[in-house]
Amino acid sequence: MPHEGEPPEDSPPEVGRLQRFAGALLAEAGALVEPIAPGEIEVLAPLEVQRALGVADLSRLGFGATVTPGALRVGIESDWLDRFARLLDNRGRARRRVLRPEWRAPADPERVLGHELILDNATFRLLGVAPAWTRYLVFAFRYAAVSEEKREGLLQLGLNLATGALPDAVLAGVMPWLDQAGEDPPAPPAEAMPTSWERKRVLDVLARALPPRLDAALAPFIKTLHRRLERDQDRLHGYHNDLHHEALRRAAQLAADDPGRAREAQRGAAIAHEYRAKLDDLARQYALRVSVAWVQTLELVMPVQRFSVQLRRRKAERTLDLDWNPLARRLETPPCAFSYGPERPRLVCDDALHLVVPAGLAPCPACGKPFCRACHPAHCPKCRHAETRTAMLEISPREPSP
Amino acid sequence: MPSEKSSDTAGLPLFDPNPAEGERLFWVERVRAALEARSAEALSVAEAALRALPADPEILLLAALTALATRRPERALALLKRYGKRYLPGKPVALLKALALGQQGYFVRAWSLLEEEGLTREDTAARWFVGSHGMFGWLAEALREIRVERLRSARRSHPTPPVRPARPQKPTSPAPKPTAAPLSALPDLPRLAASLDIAFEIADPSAILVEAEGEGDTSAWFRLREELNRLSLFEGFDELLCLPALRDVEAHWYQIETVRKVLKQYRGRVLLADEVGLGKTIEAGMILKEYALRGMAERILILTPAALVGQWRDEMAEKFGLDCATSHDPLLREDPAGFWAKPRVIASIAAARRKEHAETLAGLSYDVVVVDEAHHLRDQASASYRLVNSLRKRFLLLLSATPVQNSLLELYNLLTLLKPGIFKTAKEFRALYMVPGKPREPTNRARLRDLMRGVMVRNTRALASLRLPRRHASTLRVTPGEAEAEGYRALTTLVREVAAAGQHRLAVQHLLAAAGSSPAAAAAAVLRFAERNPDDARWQALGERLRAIGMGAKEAALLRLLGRNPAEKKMVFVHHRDSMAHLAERLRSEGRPFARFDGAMSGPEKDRAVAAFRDEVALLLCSESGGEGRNLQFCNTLINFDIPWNPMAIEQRIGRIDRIGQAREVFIFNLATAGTIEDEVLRILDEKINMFELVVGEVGAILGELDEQQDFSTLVLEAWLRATEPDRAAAFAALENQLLTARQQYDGVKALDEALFGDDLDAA
Repeated sequence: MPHEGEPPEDSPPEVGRLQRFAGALLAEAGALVEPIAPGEIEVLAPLEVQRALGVADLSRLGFGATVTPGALRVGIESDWLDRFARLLDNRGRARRRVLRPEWRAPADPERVLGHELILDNATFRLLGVAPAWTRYLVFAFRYAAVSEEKREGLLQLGLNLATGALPDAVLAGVMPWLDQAGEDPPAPPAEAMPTSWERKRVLDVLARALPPRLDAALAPFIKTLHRRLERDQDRLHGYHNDLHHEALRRAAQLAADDPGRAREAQRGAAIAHEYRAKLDDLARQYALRVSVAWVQTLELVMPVQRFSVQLRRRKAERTLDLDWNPLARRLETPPCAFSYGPERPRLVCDDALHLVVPAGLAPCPACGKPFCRACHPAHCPKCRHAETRTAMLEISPREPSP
Repeated sequence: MPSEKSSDTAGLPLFDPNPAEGERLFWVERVRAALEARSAEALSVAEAALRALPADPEILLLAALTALATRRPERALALLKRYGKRYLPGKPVALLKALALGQQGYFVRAWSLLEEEGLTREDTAARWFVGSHGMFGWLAEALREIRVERLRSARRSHPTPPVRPARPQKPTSPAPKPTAAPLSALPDLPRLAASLDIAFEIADPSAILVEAEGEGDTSAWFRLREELNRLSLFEGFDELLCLPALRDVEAHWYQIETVRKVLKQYRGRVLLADEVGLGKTIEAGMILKEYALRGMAERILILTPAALVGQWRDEMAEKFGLDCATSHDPLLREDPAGFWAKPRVIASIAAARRKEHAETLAGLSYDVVVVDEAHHLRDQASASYRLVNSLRKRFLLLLSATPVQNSLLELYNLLTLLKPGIFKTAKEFRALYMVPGKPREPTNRARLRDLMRGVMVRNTRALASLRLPRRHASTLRVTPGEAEAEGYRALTTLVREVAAAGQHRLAVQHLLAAAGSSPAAAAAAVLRFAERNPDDARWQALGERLRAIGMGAKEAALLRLLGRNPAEKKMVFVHHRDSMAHLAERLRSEGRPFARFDGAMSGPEKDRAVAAFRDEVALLLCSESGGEGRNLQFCNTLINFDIPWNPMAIEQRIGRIDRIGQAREVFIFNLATAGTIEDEVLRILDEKINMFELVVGEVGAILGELDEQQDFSTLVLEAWLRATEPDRAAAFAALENQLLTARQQYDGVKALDEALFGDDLDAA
């Protein structure tokens, strides 16, 4: 990123970061940027920039706690990030990178496979390893979890178009290399690369894979909410229970035919009713809505070693491809056909040999018969009991994220 | 969900405390998988895991659960007993034990245990359950069985008496009033549960690009959007910039929540009232750092008791990278205006409230003012209160573990500093919240807490789930040999002469401290003093006599102590370099391997020393900075070879191993030579205020009740230097009484604040 308007050496790092970002963005948008004082830059802005930022053609921007007279103070807490977003508009949403790193193949593919694939009720065999190309789609999302408090964050989710895996750990090992990679080499021929998926198929995978990852990212926040909810429930129950006891005590002091006794009984019922109503209010207050907005897509084209693996369970068998990534130097985990979560699947179903996590083959809570939830997503095949599943993403038309 | 272990070691600590982590994870996964699949081989898998890792806490608990899942409660209890021998039990253990008791048919005992631990509800129990989500059904069923069978047992042992027909009342006397049913007989309102409803939605999926067309956007625009997204997270303080900038600080989740809450909700004006030992200073430091990184705070003023100025300076600089001028700087006397003009200042409140300084401060503006031990501001008429009230500040952090000491009006005063008008007037506050004639008793506790929630955060140890290890402290009082005793007496006589002449105060302190350490340290100190004071030949003669002593009684005692359980890891704190050098030589000559850690070493050298201590040798010789910022919880034995006169320094040492994460009981050995100042200090701290039973941080709170102008070590020295024995005895007795009174006061205040605030004011 070109650096215009360098911050002074002793300025706080994040002041420098905002200043560097602003300078780079303005320069990319065609403005002339010059540092004029510690933490301040002067900007000669073209019309597009003037309109987006609401500034004059020549203006001074300051990034510290105090700025010189005449300069506009730019801070994270002000509306400047919105202004920068307007200037950015729809640019920077998607990019393709081709990587061709220097690498060597794993010396012992059997051991690598054995470390990554652990199955409790099936066997597997490595049929072969061959070099191949793959395409990863790495989606960046921004999420906002709103309950009685708010949490925001960014989440990345990768999809291997060749194998269907969601290689979180592999991509975590690849991403740091992107800045070091230099200029991209030419892409391989189209026939060497996996074909694009139908849009609907990609969106289906995203809709299933995002919730468990969001759950993991928000786990500490959700734990806090649970804790607070429980505490508030205890308080609510304690308060109404005391009132309830009072009413009962007063009723017990009256004779059976005393009309006051009936009144106290009614009061008791009203207290119970109020308690339920307040509890509903509490549930509504704490209800957590997580909205997810797509931010960017990065397509990574790179060579891999493709492991062809034969799965065998009882008399059935099928072949599964898993890619070994040379930058991360690890084999991807096969996706769970049921949860699409980050947990490693370790069970294989009898029918289609789906790889699933234990919850995917758990007994039906109604009839007790285990069944594969990838084969039968809607209900138990025996008793037709339908389970409540982890919320898949609702897809609702909304305003695009800024 | 635990993340996959990456083969990339970047970001991992320099050493792995558990070299077989891969193996451990392998077994944990195997046992969990077998449990979830209800495999017939589950118990065999668990037993195999136990053979491989017999002492791993997670394996022990999972194996106990497996035993329960296969209806082997005796095996489960045996494993839990094994766990209890090595680790502190907690709710997970209590839950499994209750389930085992239930399987054995002891439903009443099982239920009592669940009640004690607050685990009677399924959702609460689920949180402490070591099994995975798939076993929740099993857990719920087991709890239900205990609940139902317990009730059946209760009915069987207290059967309902047969109903007798009522006798007709005689008409002459009025019908007797039925007595009110005892509270315990009244049925409870059925408890309902509200669930946390979570829904996900994706906004505008039509906007998602599922591939880049061609090469897509340029790299520059792509990165700019990436950066904008990251920067936008910093809006609203959800992402804290300070976290990656902390050094040698393990920020706990409740501290991070507190910082977020202070920044978002309290907008930087808050009373941080965490219980002692939970890290209010860390929270304050994080808030300061966050403001500094965001460019929101350039001018910072920290006001503390005199004794804590140095500690704050060191913590701010070392942990948060915030270098501050302090009121110890000579600049304060030479050029007060220049001193106070500095952007970051730590000053004793006693110095700052002096008239000449208070007037200067009132004319300055600050972005943030921090006041430590803010309960000293409880009186509106006090100079300290008037000072803080007069300062021009945007943000104000008040820190106190005991904000209310004598009267609720103190709370009114403190909170009014933060939010003027929060309680309208004092008169109205008294009328609304205080019981007439009972200054510590609130009339409307719930309403008061509601109001306090707007300006105060108080985290408790219970919230933080802090289970601090039990401590066992012993003092080994050694009798010196005749030459050593005579040497100490001679030194004491000489320093009293020097002190009486009003000279060399610091040198006197140093000489006495060295003499209390070892003859080697005493000799070195005395000979250095003799060089600087050649006129008095007695110093040189004394130095040579001390040098001739060789090994002192304490050193001999230490070597004997080290000989017990030589394989057990021990940290030996030695303040004086000469003592450390002498000991090191002694250990080498006896062939005892050891590692050494002192402040002068570089970072990598310190890391190597800790690694050697962890993996190769059983002994770490360390100076005061020993182990600072390092994970030393694998050691649970600490030996104080030197006894610092400042109890907070002792506490800092103990805090290296007595901290969150220490699973074993902590053993502390204090060595002192009879007849020395250290002997006296230990006696006061151990016997009079039971210092070694206190939670780390409480000593400071108690000492805060003493004289603000002088620190404890100065008070000790003053007492020791009294000319006659009766005077000395009287001075130490007075110091003891002061400390006792301070301890009692502290205990009373602690109880009051616990009753007043409960656990309703935490951050999370």
